[in-house]
Amino acid sequence: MMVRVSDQPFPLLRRPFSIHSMAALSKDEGSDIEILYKIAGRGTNLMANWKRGKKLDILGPLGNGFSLPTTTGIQFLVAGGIGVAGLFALSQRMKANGQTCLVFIGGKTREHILCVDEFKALGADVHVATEDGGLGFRGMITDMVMSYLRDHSTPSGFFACGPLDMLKAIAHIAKSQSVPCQVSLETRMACGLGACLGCVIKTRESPLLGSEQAFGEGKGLPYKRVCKEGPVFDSEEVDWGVV
Amino acid sequence: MRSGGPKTEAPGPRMSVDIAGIKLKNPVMAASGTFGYGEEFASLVDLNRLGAIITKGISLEPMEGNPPPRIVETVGGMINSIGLQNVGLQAFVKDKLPFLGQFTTPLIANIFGGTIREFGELAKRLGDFPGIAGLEVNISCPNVTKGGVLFGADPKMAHRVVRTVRRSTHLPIIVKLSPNVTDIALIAKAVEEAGGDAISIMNTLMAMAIDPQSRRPLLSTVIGGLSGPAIKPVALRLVWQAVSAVKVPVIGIGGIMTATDALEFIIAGARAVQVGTANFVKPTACLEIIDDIEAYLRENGFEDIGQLVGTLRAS
Repeated sequence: MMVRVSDQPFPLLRRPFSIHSMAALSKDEGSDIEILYKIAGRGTNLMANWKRGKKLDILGPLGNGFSLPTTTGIQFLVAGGIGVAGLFALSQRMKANGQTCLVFIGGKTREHILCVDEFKALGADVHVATEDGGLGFRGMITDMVMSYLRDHSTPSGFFACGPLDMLKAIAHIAKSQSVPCQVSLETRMACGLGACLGCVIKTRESPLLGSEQAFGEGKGLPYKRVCKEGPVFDSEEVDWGVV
Repeated sequence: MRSGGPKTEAPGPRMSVDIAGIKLKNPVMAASGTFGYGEEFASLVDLNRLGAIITKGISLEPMEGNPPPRIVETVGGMINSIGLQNVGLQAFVKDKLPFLGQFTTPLIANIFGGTIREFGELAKRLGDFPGIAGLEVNISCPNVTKGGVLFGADPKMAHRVVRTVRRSTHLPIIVKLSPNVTDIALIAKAVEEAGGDAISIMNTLMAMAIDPQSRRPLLSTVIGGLSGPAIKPVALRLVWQAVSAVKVPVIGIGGIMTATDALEFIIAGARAVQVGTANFVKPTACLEIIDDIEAYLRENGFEDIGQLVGTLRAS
């Protein structure tokens, strides 16, 4: 979704967010949508001062979402920091579908670990890692996933959202296990509608996808729009050396 | 006051304009590179209400564009370095043109060549398609290493490009100029002399931004093009300078967010305007600007938008 954070010339552009969770209210009221965000700059600072009841100007939903797995078996959801924001709605849908997921959440310190109780309330097993060891496993979340895999069987799929380095590492782990992996990417965006071509990432032809699908806007062109063809990509499709 | 009110009301002011033979319902067009190929906005905007749609720049062959990061927000604007990523002429004609053909709004194809020959070739081949009402010749892109602003910064080169395009097509030619020049009047005159039917001013201003923490540029190409409300006063000045130098119609572009902004350009002498970055912030920006220009004309007793053009009380 693209959220307008100000009606002033600065900050000018809308801010992109993923839908954190959805809750059906009633037939007439539609559904409730939650955005979970980290105060990172001018736009999110303004948002943090919004009062209850404020009417918002939001464009959305835009782009794609995670594709629900068709295979049975356990799915790994891996979140880095505020990346939990992009995975909670997926776990809600997985639960509704009767699928089992295991959630890994990593962060710098215990203050950076969010939504553990929410995921648990959905019945998911949650594993936590912090870089300073303040909560759960001490180290990077990717190290934790690696060590977990040493004693447990391979999942049917990976779903990841978080910093680029983490996504790259998860993509690598998934590839080494020959397991599909979907990653939700974040880039600077202007329009969110596919027009400005500002939010692109470099892709390569995925062996899992037909080339027509792999290259959306202009077949054979390597850059794909995170707002339109994404934000979720097959990790094999992303050119990790360039993004 | 919105258009289409009760029938008892007096007819609204005439909003239609004629730019080099292209008949526009109103003077507000969606600027190149900010409106995709129309389809991106079709679910949010009634495309039939726009004055014209100008396509994303089209080159002979597909162009992959610049590596990310390609955009950064700055005070009152944004800097982009897209690098003319586009599907190329063939895919444009096959995949994009049929959709745009459904609308009554004139379609203007923005063309970009790395060489003069390529400009000519594009103009010639696009002339075959009845869905195209005119060409906008981009000699002002700051984000490519070949062509672009290199053509637009030199009156002789600008003249050669426009003369080649003129000889290759009967379509009306709008030439989009760069602000990154010492004397806009000189370039505008060269373009007019070479057979340009109209001039659009301006493309983005060359600009940059740095992250002091990493000491890295915020764009992969270091330098990009600034757009948004921050650039409007510069664009307005250039339009003002150009209208006194040439007889062909001038189209104002640069930081137009509201009807007030658009009216400034029209009063300075622009016959029409293009809305760019505002489309990103508010997809319906063009429609609101159209309605509000009409309301201004009504409230100020103008029967025709043309009566307002170039009415600046300068002295």
